[in-house]
Amino acid sequence: MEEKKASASRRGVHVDPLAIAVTGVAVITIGWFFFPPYWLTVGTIMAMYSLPALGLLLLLGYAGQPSFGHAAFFGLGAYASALATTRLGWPSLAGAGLGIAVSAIAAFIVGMPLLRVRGHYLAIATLALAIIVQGLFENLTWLTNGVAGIGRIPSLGDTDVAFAITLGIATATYVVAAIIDHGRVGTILRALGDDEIAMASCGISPVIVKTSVFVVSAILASVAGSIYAHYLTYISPESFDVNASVLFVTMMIIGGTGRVWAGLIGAVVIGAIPAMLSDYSSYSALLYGIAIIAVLLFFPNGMLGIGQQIRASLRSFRRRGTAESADSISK
Amino acid sequence: MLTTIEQLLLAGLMIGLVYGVVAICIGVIYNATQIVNFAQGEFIMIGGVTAWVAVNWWKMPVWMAGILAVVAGAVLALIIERAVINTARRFGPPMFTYVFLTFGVSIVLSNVALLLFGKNPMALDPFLGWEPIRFFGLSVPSQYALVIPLCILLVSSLVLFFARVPIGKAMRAAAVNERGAKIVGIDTAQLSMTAFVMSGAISALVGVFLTPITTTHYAIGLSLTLKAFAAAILGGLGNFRGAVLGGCVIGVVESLTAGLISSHFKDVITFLFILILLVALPRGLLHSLVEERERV
Amino acid sequence: MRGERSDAILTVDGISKRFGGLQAVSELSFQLFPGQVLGLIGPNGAGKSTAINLITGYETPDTGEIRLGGKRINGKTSHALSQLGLRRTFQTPRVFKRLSIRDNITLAEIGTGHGTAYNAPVLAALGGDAVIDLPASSLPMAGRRLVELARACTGTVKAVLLDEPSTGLVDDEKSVMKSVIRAIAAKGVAVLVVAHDIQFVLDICERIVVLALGSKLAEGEPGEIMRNPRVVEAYLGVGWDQHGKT
Repeated sequence: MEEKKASASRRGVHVDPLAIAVTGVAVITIGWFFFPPYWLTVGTIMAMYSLPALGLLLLLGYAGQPSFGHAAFFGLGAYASALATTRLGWPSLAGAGLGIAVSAIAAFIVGMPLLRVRGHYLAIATLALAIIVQGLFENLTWLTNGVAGIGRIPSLGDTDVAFAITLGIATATYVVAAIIDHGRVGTILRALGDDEIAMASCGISPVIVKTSVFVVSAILASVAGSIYAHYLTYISPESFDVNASVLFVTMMIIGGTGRVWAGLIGAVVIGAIPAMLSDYSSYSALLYGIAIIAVLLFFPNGMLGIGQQIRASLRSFRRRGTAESADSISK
Repeated sequence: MLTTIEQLLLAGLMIGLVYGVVAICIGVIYNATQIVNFAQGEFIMIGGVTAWVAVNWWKMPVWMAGILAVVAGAVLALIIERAVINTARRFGPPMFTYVFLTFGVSIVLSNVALLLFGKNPMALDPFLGWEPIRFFGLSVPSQYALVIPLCILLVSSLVLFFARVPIGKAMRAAAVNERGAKIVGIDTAQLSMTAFVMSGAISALVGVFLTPITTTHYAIGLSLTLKAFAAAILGGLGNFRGAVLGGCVIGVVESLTAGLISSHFKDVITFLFILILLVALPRGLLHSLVEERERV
Repeated sequence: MRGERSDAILTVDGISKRFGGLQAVSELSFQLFPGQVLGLIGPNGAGKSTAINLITGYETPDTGEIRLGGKRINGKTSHALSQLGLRRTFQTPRVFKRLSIRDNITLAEIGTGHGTAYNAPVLAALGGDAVIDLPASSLPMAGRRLVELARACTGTVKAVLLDEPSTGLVDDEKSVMKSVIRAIAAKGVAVLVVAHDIQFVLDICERIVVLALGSKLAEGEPGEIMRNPRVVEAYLGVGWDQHGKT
């Protein structure tokens, strides 16, 4: 136990699964009784986006791979849930399960060969995938109703019920993630983020680990998509266009690299902006584009990095009196 | 008009050559800087849009509009290289940062175009008039007779440039071994700027010539970027002959799909083809200069 | 291969590799035996690192065959080779900086099994339990090399290829490294040491292969090698003397 604490503190921000569970339950309870409907709505959306945010953070932070097409998995989850529940009369869990299966398979097929080569190949492939998937949604009208979309999807429930369910799923996911992080998988992921070649010399295939991370990130996006479908009760192809991918990319960037938990806060906030602006207007896309560039240039360590940078500049400010040179921000 | 197989093939070849040229532009930047420019398609759009504005708002003759467009492409590329790429370089970020940056640039450019010009396609009149001409015995839009030779001219010039002109040779050297190039005294910063300016100018030029055929609007960038990328990767990233070959393959597939199957599914099937290619042959059909130094 | 013995754990048989216009390695053959420390030396550009990369799966040989325990391993990936017991360290030690020493070792256990028989001397040299939970990033060069070596000796270990294990080390540290390498070999592991530091190689290797311009120039015991005029000539441009200084 002692040894775990020692290495834990050196690994950085580290969160106890129990703490997450308790926080989650607390927020759900407080929200249920005290939040006004607007807060419940925004909270639901943030909880929903916190799932793909986690996946993307793992993908970029540990596997170091960019994906520009996560909207594809989000969309596949949404349409699978929508079709399964409206056309086949499946229960919603089964519909979500279908979405997960389809997304996982697609991620595996695309990821396995492309994760052997440089990141930009995956970026292009996932972008192509996103365009293909949206094109299929638009054009396979016999299946998806085309641009008209699919309506009358079984609802998550009233505002407070939807909030509780979504937040519950998010909490459960994060608890599981924290538990896994404490164990061997967490060690492997941190090693992957450090040095892939060294990992290969330990007999672990970096491609397999990266593909697994990619598949998991696709599954998380798919689950979020399923929630989305049941939450809005109506979906159409235009929600899964390039702008949706841009949103996910922005989330990925804001989340920063490596500092898992704190970065998520920023990512989730980004996700809530569409809810607050209430439409995917071109202004939001432009904003995201600028945000991506700005964050990468000025806050390369994401949200937690901003805190680091502020502290570092304060330190160097104080040091100027002793004529010591300002330290550069350590990565 | 374009209904026979031969016409479809020619159309495919034409657009394929365009993809090839753009793929070379991507390759030029990649060879010089290791950066994959996701905003390449936007340079084409900028070229077309600038020419449209010059012709329709400022009443310029087409040739002048074209020059203005090329200048706009070059200047914009330089601004992006200096303001965005070089700023990032200062703190030595991981490679994926550049990918996201150019993606961000692409989003910003396309959305600015959307805000300024709206969603409607912007058209230019064909330079040689509306009468179809006979090209290799086929009846095709007159603009083909300009686009095809232009692309061939551009490709040949570029190949010559990289084989003979010192800065071109320097770029090839830097592609294979960046440190070695620096040690020999090659100014990699200058290379980077040159690469971006060249790619921007050439893509803008292509955009001007392409607009009479396909029209231009805020969203064409992404699709062009992806297809040009696929062409570049298919031929080996940084390999020019491969890029042209890859471009033609993709162009022909796209054209045949549009003509024979359905124009609705054209994009889906073309991108599906591209995705399958990427997945099956991630290293492309031909080797590339830079991949050689990817080895541990 | 002429004079090939069947009790070798690693057999390199006529491998070659060309990179564009450069023939980096040409028809290289040698064998590695359990418990033996073999040295691979040669002037800069001789092809030593390429040879290690070829053997450990980072490059594929154009010609020839590499056999581990009698089985052909050409083209296998580096992680597959590690699982089979063919391990290596790198010129610049690659430790997992974010992890503790213990976790570094754990990763090797995850990938190649729980054998800890061979890494004991290395861990002892590091300082054992007193240091094992320190982050790997806190160690100086010598410590990192030892961590990497300990990792390479964890799990399934038949042969370990060390790429410049003494570079960046001062004399005391080199002594420690030498005794650690001897201890590992004493336990039956086959060890290959690639080094620029000729004195280091002379001190611990029973047998030495000399490479120049990609080809094997000479092979034999340390004494023979030192007296071989062709070996001296190959190094002439670098001008080394008895003390291994260049």
